[in-house]
Amino acid sequence: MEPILQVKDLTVSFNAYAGTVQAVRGVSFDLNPHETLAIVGESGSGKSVTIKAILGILPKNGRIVNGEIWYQGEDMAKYSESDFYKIRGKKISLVFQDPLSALNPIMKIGKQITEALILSKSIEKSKAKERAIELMEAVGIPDPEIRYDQYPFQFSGGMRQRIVIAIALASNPELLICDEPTTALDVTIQAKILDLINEIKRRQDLSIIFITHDMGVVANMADRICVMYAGKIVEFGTANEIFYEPAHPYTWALLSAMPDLDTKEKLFAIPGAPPNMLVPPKGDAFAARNKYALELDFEEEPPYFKLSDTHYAATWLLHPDAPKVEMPEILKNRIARMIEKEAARDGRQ
Amino acid sequence: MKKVLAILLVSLMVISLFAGCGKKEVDITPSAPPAETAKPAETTQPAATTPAAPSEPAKPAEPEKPKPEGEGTLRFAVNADISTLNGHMYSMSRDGDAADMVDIYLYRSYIGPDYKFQRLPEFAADFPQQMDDTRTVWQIPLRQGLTWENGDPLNADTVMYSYKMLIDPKLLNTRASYFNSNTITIKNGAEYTKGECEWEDVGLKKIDDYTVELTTVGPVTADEIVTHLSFNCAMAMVHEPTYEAAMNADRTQTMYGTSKDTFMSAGSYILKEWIPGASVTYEKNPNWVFADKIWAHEVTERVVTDNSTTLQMFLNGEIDYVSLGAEEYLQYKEDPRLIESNATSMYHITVNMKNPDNPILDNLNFRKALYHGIDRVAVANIGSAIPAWYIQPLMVIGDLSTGESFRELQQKKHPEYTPENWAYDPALAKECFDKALEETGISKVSVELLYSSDNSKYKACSEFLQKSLAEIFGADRFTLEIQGMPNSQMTATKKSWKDNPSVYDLGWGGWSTSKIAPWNGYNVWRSSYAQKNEPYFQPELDELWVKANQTEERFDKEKQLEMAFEMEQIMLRDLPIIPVMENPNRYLKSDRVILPTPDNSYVVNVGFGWKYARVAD
Amino acid sequence: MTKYILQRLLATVITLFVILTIGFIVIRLMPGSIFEGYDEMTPEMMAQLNAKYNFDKPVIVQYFIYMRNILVHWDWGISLKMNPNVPVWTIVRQKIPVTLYVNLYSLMISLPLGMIAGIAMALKKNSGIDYGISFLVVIFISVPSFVFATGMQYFLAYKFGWFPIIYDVNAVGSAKLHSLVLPILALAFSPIARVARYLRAELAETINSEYMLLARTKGLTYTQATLRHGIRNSLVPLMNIIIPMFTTIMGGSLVVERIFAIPGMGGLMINAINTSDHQVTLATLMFYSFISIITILLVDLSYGIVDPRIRIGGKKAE
Repeated sequence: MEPILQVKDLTVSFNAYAGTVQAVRGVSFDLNPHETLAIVGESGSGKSVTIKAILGILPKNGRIVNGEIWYQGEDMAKYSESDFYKIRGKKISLVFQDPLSALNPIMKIGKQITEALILSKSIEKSKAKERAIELMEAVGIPDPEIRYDQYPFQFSGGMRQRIVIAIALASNPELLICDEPTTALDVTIQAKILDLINEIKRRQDLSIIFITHDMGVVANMADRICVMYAGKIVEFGTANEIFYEPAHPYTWALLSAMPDLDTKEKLFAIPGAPPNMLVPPKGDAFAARNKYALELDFEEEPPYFKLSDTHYAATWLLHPDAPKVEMPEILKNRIARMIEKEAARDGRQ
Repeated sequence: MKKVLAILLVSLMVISLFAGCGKKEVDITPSAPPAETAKPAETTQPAATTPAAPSEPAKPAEPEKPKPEGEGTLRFAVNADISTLNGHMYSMSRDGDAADMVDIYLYRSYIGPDYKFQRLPEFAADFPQQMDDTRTVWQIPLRQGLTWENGDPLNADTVMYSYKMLIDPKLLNTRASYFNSNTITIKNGAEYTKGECEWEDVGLKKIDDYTVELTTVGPVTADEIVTHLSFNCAMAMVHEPTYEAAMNADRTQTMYGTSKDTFMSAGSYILKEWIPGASVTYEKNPNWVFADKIWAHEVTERVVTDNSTTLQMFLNGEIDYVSLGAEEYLQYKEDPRLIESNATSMYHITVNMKNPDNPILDNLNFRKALYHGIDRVAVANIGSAIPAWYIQPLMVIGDLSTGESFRELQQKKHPEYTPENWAYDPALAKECFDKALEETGISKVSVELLYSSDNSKYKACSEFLQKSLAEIFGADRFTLEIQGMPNSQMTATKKSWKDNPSVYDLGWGGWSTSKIAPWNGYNVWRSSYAQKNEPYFQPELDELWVKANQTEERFDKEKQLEMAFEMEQIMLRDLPIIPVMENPNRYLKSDRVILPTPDNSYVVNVGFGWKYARVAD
Repeated sequence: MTKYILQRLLATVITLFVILTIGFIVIRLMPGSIFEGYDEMTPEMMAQLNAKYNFDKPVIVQYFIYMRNILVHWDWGISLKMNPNVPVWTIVRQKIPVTLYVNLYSLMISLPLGMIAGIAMALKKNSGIDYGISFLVVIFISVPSFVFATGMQYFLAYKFGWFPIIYDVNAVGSAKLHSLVLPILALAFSPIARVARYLRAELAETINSEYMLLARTKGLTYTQATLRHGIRNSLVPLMNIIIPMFTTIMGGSLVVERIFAIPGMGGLMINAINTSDHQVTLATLMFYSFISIITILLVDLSYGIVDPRIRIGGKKAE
């Protein structure tokens, strides 16, 4: 099947006073129809920048230096503002991270939902309210008739995020990008929102790009996963592959850092901090924090090593001549437990 | 980009520093040959009051008369609005100017046949008639056939009503005393106002429809009655029905004169329109007694308080004259349109003699030192004024019958009074100063001079004095501090010496006096004067004043004039004030307007006579 | 909300009352009698006059008489010097219309121009346009209005003759406006600058907000998003400075009105003080105080009305 979205070698830089910040350095991935692709990484890894580049909403001092973004047969990297007008909201929608600041505080939410529709003349004004109420019901907002005339501050956090989702779905896009949609919410609400997103994906046959730094969230949502670090994708594969057979030390670290109720081990944290992207390090960016780093990691960037047709990782450890390194104990145990649980579940079914 | 902008801003600031302030370009028309208008002589001693025009002032056969309804519009700008047209309680001098346009008086000053000042009966038919030997009972005949603007007749009832209301005890008009007791004292006038007697007891009676009778306290002359009845706008007639209609329920207040609707005209012009705070329009009254003197059809006055705006309006041809301040005068000195009025007031330095904190002020020799130490010519030059060593200004008339000025007469009769060099004698000044220090035992003198900050020239003059006096007396022994403040504040400060004896040392002051009764003006220096500016008590002066103004001795004109000279000498001997200069007023007059006098002279008690002006075709 | 309004109104009344009391006492304590300028007045006459107008009574008694007159008869007294016997309220009422005219027009042009300038500056932040307009803004704020007034009068009216030098009192309609163009402009420069600066700051912030971004991502064009979300949200806090502008205009501008010979409110207080006409001074003082306080109240209320967070949030709290 043809991928619905293809990003090829995307490079995005920012002009800051201090110099040029290379936020995204040659990122490539495909999004297949009706799948959820998760992009995982720390803060500062370049995930948000990537999707902003896709939608053409980079801040003024950012620009696409290189690369292509293929969608519907056109390279969006070359789009002008008026071209994006056809895409945004109508084909590709974005769900924001913080619903409180994402909604206009002094505009009624009903209006915020229907605004884009009315302005783009996709719907008659008279029908707009109906549509909005439809949407609100679809995202699970109770009493939509009353709520239509209310303001964002009259809703709880979870409700607000549902509104943001409703707004994103208003024009029936085919591609939904979620930028850490649950990070600002309580854990209890998180699950509900994630379920909602999955349900909507099912109902409307959406394709989803899901950005997060939380591997726990990814587990429920993703079909495929890309792991990003310092502006590059260091590993990508199906969800099973990444969770059960992670190959990059960074992925190991991420997985190890997931809080786990079943273990008595100390909570693992990745030491160090992401590098300064003004002066990207030579070689593998993760090398400085990588306890499994080889000397070569500091010298030269590792290419993608194939693990399967769908699973690639960029680490010198996968080189045939590299020393054999096992994933950390915690991880091994965790994976073992996961497999057990799966089996148990499958067994019961 | 930021650096470029910063440089731009800095250079702009620097450029603005060099930008000249020459906003007003001097709009001088190519210099015409020196104008006929002679300015008051500055160098010769006996300064002539009227500019000596070589040719005969009286123009032969001028039978031309103005049209009954007049022709053309005179356009003026004034710097304040009328406060009220009710002369009984007028509060600003501007009110007097307006009243002069629209009110009718029993007697008034005019420009006489030889372009000098003349007094004529206006509403009255003739001068007051003495009725008996006591010289206290006088009858005034009234003209018949005169009417108000709306046709109502003017007769004796008008006179009775007008003055009855003026001194009414309930209305308590602020100007009531101008009738009760001014040049003459009306019998029982003040008592009636105090509520101590009835109207019937007051010395004003109606004899018949066109005759009223005055009874005074003490003998008076006809001239004095005329002066009294033409003194100011409080003496004008008021229209009874309008006045009554505007009265409040308990008759303590009337709104007469507060707007066009609550006023009735009867004078040279009729009030056509009054927009409060903004403008007044007058129209010639064809029924006026002397309608033949009025040429214009309409006069408009626009209230403009800012002088530079007025000047612009004049230069733009929107108004017909503008008064020039000190700086503007220097600019337009040579302009052929310049006209000058004689000073109407004297400018002097008042001395707070009894200041307990500065006893040197009480010393006569110190004051003489100041008197002789001031270089009047130089100071007057700085102030664009006329130096004056005397008390009575140049314009004051000494003899009503001949029209000669007080100063002219003084030069004739007492040339010995006139000092050399405007009394400026630095050697003598220093001598007096030394004596003063000896007598008082003070070794170092420090005095403070207050000046009005309203006009920049006073500061310049004060600074000059500061320097020059220190030079003469020695900077180690004498310091003159100067302090500026708004004029109203300075006046209030000076007057408060009664409660606060050391409130000031020296202060500039102006003195405006009667132009036709030089013996009267010294009133403000009498011990009994209520609003004194300085602690000067001289019984000699008091006695002379009473003699010259209130006793029978005044009926001898020669003697009266002598007493006036004597009083001036007393003042110059005691020096409670140090005379310095006279301030003439300068104006630019447009060529469109022709003044009634051939040489644009300023007539005593009348002025330039703008209302009699003619619009050139 | 109603409770809030009532509380504020009560506070307003108390404040005005205090101002009136203090003003009255201070003015009455000033030395000198109002009749001092009348040289010829006899002392007996002065005593009689003082009795007539109650100036001889103790300050407290005068105060009560004054308050009673205001509360019972709405009688603010009469002027004794500026326009003798004319009720103070009449004087004030006469002068308001032209001041209102000039200042309302001034506001009417300064608000749109200021907003346009502010929006232009914010949208083109740090560009040539931004710097250019900022420069003008600084000049308009720093240079006093009368400098502009005098300059315009000299060049535009006197030299070029495009406008009359002073206000034409007899004109009506468009001629009246024509003669008032210069003072209107002179008074407009400062508000334009203030509004522009304020709006620039507000708008620069809102343009960078998340909801602007969301607006664009959901399909609005840049213009639509800026107008409907950026600018609309920035206008709300603008109430903060616009409403005070409305009320400062009542005070008129002393100098500009003088320069153009406009018989307005501007010089009223100063003239009253200079002529020692205390009744007028006090009444004018109360007038200005009243307006200022109403302003503050309106600003507070406006926030309550315009910003739904306060309006509805307040209800929830009750």
